[in-house]
Amino acid sequence: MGTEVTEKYAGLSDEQLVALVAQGEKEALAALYDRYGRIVFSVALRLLRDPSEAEDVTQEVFLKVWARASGYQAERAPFARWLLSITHHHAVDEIRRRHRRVHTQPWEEALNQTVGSPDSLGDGQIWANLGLRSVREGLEQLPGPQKQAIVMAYFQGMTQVEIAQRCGAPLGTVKTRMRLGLQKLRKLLK
Amino acid sequence: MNCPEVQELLAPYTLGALLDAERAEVESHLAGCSVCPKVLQEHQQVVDQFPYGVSLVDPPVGLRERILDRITESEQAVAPGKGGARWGHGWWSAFLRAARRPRPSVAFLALLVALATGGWAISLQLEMNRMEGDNDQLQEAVQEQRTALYWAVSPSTIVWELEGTEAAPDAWGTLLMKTDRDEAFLVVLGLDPSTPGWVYQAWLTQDGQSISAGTFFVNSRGQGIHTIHAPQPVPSYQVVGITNEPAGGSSAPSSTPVLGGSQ
Repeated sequence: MGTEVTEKYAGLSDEQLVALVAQGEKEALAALYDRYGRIVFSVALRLLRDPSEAEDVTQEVFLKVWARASGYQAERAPFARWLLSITHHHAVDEIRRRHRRVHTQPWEEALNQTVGSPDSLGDGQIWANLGLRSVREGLEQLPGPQKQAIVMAYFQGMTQVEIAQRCGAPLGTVKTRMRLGLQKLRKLLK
Repeated sequence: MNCPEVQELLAPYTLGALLDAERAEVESHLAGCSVCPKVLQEHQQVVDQFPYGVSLVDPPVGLRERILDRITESEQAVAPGKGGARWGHGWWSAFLRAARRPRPSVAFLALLVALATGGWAISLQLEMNRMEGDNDQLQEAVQEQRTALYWAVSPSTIVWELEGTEAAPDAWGTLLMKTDRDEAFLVVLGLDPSTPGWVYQAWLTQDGQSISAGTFFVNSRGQGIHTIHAPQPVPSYQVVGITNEPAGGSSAPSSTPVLGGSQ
C-alpha cells in the first residue's frame, strides 16, 4: 500500500475519504494519513517537543479517526479542522496527563519556533489575505501580553490558570488578553 | 452558565486552555445557545490557522504502516466468537451517538437525587438477600453511594453519559471519572432487574482490547451502582460497555451489550 493508494483516492475529497473509512476501508485511512500525517505529526511535535511522544499522539489521532469516522459530520466542520482540533486536544491532554512542564521553555522561544512554512498544507486564507507569510507575523503584530497569552495557551498547552500564575496576572485579565488578541488577528482581515 | 460567562471563556476554549470540566460546561451552553456559537466561530476561524504556523517535520519512517497494523491487530483481537458480542470497528459505531456529553442533564439531576436519598444501596443489597444482619456491608454500600454523590457534584469529575442499546432502549448510565484516577463510579438506570444466576458486567476497551471492569447487580427499580478499578486511569479508555453474564462473570463478553458509550 503506497503510491497506488494515493493515486486511487486522489480525486476524492477528505469528506468522501472519511465516509469510506466509516465503511471500514483502511486504504482510505491510509490516504488521509498521506495527506495529513505530516502536519499532524508536526503539530504534536511542536507541543510535545519529543518525537516519540509526537509519534504516539499521531497514532492515537488516526486511530480516533478510524473509530469515529461514522460520527463525523462534514456540515459541522471541514475535515482538516476536525482532525487538527483532535490533534491539538490530544497533544494538550498528553502534556497535562504526564504533568509535563514543557512550558518551562520561555514563551518567546516557543513563538520563535512558530514559523510559517511555504509548503504548509491547507489554504491558509487568513494569512494569504493579510499578505502575511506566517502565523508568526500575525502574532508579532499583537501587543506583548496578548501574544504571550495566546502562545502559552495554544503552542505550549497551558491552562488559563497556569498562564495567569506564570504571568502574575489575574485570571480575568488573561481571558481578556486572549479574547482581544484573537479579535485583533481577525480585524487584520478587514 | 449564562452567555456573558460563556463568552468570557470562548477565547481560552478555542485555544485549548480550559480543563475538561470547564470545556464540558461551555459545550453544554453552546448546544442550546444561538448567540455564543457565532462568537466562537470568529475565534475558531483564527485559531484554525495556527496548525499551519508550525514547521513541518516528516513523521518517522514506518509510522503509516504501524497505524494500519494496529487497526488490523485490534480487529483480530476482538473477533467475535460463537454467540459472542461483536466488538469490532462497525459494532461500536452504535455507541458513537453516546459520545461524552456535558452535564447536567435532567436525567443526571435525577441521578443526584437518587444518590442523595441514601436508600438506593440499602434497597439494592437487601433485595439481593446478601446483607440481612450484616451492618459492615450495609455501611460499605452506603459509603459507596455517598462517595459517588460527592464525585457527581465535584467540578473536577469527568462525566461520561452512556446510552442503552436496542436490547435495553430505556437504559441510561453515567461513568463518573477523574483525570489520572484508575477508580470510577458507574451508575445505571433503567436496566432490567438482575435475575438469579445472572449478573451485569462492565467492560473497558482501549485500542480494541477489552478488559473486565467487574460485576454488579441491578435492583427492582432498574438501578445499579458499581465502583470500577482499572489498571490505568479510566479516562484513557475509549469504550465502556455493560453486558449481562452468567453469575460470577465471564472472561470475555458473551452477549450483546445493553448499555455503553465511546469517546
